[in-house]
Amino acid sequence: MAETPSSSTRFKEYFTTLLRDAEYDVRPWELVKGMDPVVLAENPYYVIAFQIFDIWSDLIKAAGQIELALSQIIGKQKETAKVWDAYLILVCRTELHEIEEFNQFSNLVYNTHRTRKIVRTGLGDTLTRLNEVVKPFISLTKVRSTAKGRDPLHILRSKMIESGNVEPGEIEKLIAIFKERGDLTNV
Amino acid sequence: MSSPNNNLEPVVFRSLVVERFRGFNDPVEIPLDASAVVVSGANGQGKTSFFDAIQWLLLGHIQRLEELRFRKNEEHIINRYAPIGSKARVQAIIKDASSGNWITVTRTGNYRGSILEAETNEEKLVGQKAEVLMRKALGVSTSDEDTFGQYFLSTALLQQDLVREFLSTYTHAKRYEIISRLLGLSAIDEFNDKLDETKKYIAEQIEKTYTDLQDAKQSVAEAEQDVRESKARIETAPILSETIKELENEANSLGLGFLLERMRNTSDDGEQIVLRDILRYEKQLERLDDLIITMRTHFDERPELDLVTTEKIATEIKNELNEEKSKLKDDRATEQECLETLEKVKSRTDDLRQLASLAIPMLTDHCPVCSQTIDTESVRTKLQLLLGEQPELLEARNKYKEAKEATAQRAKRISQLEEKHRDAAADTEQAKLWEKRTSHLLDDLRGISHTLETLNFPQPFPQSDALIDWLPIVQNWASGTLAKLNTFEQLVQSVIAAQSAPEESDRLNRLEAKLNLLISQYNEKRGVVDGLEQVLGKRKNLVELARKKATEVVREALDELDPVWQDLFSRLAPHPTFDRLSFSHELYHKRGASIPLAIDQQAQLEISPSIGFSSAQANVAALCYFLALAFASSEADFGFVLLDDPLQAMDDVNVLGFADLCRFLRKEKQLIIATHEGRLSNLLVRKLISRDKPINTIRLEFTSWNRSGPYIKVERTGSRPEISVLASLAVTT
Repeated sequence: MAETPSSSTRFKEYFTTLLRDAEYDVRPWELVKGMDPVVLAENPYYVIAFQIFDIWSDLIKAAGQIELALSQIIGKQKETAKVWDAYLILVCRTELHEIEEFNQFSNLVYNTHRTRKIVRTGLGDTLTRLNEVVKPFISLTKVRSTAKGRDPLHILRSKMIESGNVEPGEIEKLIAIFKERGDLTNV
Repeated sequence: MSSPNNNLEPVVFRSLVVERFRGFNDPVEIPLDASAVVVSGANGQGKTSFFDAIQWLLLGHIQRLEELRFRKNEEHIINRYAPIGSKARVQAIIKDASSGNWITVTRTGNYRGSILEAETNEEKLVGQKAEVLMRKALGVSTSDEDTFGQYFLSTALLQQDLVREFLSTYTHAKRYEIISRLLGLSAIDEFNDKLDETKKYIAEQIEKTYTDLQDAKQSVAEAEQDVRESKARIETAPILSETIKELENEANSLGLGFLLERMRNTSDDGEQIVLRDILRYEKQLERLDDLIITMRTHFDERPELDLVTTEKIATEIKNELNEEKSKLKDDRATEQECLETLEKVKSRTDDLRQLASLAIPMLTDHCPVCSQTIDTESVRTKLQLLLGEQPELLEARNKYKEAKEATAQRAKRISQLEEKHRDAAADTEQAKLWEKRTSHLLDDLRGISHTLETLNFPQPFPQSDALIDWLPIVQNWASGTLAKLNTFEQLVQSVIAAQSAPEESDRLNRLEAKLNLLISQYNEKRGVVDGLEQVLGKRKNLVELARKKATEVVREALDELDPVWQDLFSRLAPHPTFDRLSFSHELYHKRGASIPLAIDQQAQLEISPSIGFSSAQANVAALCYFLALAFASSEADFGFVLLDDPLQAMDDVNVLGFADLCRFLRKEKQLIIATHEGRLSNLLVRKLISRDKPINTIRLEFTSWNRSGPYIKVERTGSRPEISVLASLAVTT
């Protein structure tokens, strides 16, 4: 019987998929000796290290070490601009509760000395929360209003007829007269 | 013109030339042929003039300055140091979104107005045609100048204050209007507004027709009343022969036969003439009644003494007064005489007293002249007598005193008589007035008695002394006569009513015909009002339904855009708990309303970002809305975004997030972004330099400004590939 992957593994796999889909080079890497490997993702612009923790205390304990290790391996590349594009994504499955934890959260996020850190908590088992987390590293969502190219009055007409509270002939006639800039009073 | 740029990056503006415009004086050509242009420089070096130049070129005005101008004729377009009479000029080479060809557009003008020229490979257009060509080239569907301006300011140019205004100070309805336009749904609102107008028009028609209906109802009610009254008259009309007989009998018994004769002897309208006579008699009798009351009051106020007596008394007093006045003259002469005597006696006795007072000390026993012995005691006694009061003086003084008192007594008496005479004169005047008034009243009474003679006014007319006793007789006669006249009048009215019965029947027929016509007109109008009310009811429902459904259409269109601002908001993540940005789209007071919302998904709480967020967080929210509309609007698909200092008040984390976001924005639209902070401009340039595709990033550094305009340092950076960190790790392992 195949072993069920742990939640951490599933999050890492999901992260890997998201970044690979966005054409990143992705691989696991033991950034800090003795610690669970992080997932490293890279494209010409970004180097991202991803790690997940069950509880906040583990995250805050490991954050400094991971950040240091990440900045060190990028620092080995002389004259690289990527030192400005190293990101650490740290997520925690549980919520913050104590004031001290919120203070730690702010201190961690707003310390951009070495890397920019994206920290999210309370993910539980919801993998899709990662969709929001990785947004800064993937292309913009492309949406165009479906109204484009469609006659808005046609959409309105359909909705009014669907409601069943109007005679189709009447609304069609009104719209037709309106389009011809006619007088709607006597319809 | 051929395209100088490959198709790897979006470029709308290839270059911009600015001359004599706001902060620019000498002509400056600014290269913009890159998908990312970072404009940097301290405040006051000309960055905003650069953005103003693009705005003026495209719109012909600068929106944010329109409201700030103190005077309408204030020059705010031409550079302050430009030669007098010169004009501002802004020229750009822009890409036609549909053909991909380059067009040169040039605007020239000042605060009063401007003119646009557009030059393509084939033609050169000027004025309105050039404006239309330019808007079309920029990929915007509207041809309306105002709408184009609104699109530009809502989706292409972000000036922090203006975007915040959109978020915080616009009304929800105004925001709804702009958003629905940007989504290409304005036709729905226009249609709904027209429908609403028709609803109001129908309501006005009902109001107007209803007023007519009320008038018609009133006319029917009046006609019904006329018919009722006519019927009553016919029903109660007496029989003519009987009423005439009764009139004849009563006329004789009332002693009014002469009136009956007059009625008979007048060929036409005898009854009416007699009624007028009766009315005239009645008025005279009323006058007589009033006169009797006045006379009684007048006789009650009769003076105590009659005129003859008062005149006699006054004459007597006058005579006595004259006599006394004559005596007073004599008294005054006597008084004067006594006074003069007194003066003389006093003078003489004073001289003797003086001599005596001198002689007494000089008195000797012998005369110093003849030496004769003097009886000094006797002489001294005589001299001393002379020093005291002299009897002659006392007598003169008493006489004068008596004369003076007599004069005063006389004067007093005269004063008393004068007062008495005044009173007597007043009594005489009062008696005269009373007599005169009596005479007038008697004249009136005679006049009335003359007009009422035919009614047997009581005779003979008495003397004035007996008048007061005669008045009750007249009064009794008057009330009796009035009663007789009333009775006779009623009988004449009965005769008239009996005579007019056939005429009343005809009148009733006419009134009933009129009533039927009015009822028919009323029913017709009622039908019109009922019909209109039915139409209005239906139209109200239709308008309500159309508004509701329009809101649904706009909401659905906005929901489609939800992922876009959600995407942008996630990248910048300005708030630790409110992690979602949205728009509530509702029907509020029968109008669409768009309300910006920030949502804490976990706590399921909603707030308005302009109220609940800090200034920096609200700026980020405003930026997200702006960019979402810029990137997803179906109507305003400008190929560029101008961001004038969007990083104000943002913290480091927001700035880093925004810089990362710009990397993706430039792939979609030409990005021209300004910041006054050198550190941030360096960060932006570093982030925006391409590391894969061979595309340029331009940095325009506004280093200084003088009267000639800004000095702009242009730095163009090509692609700079990076070494892969992961590859090097693999090598290491």
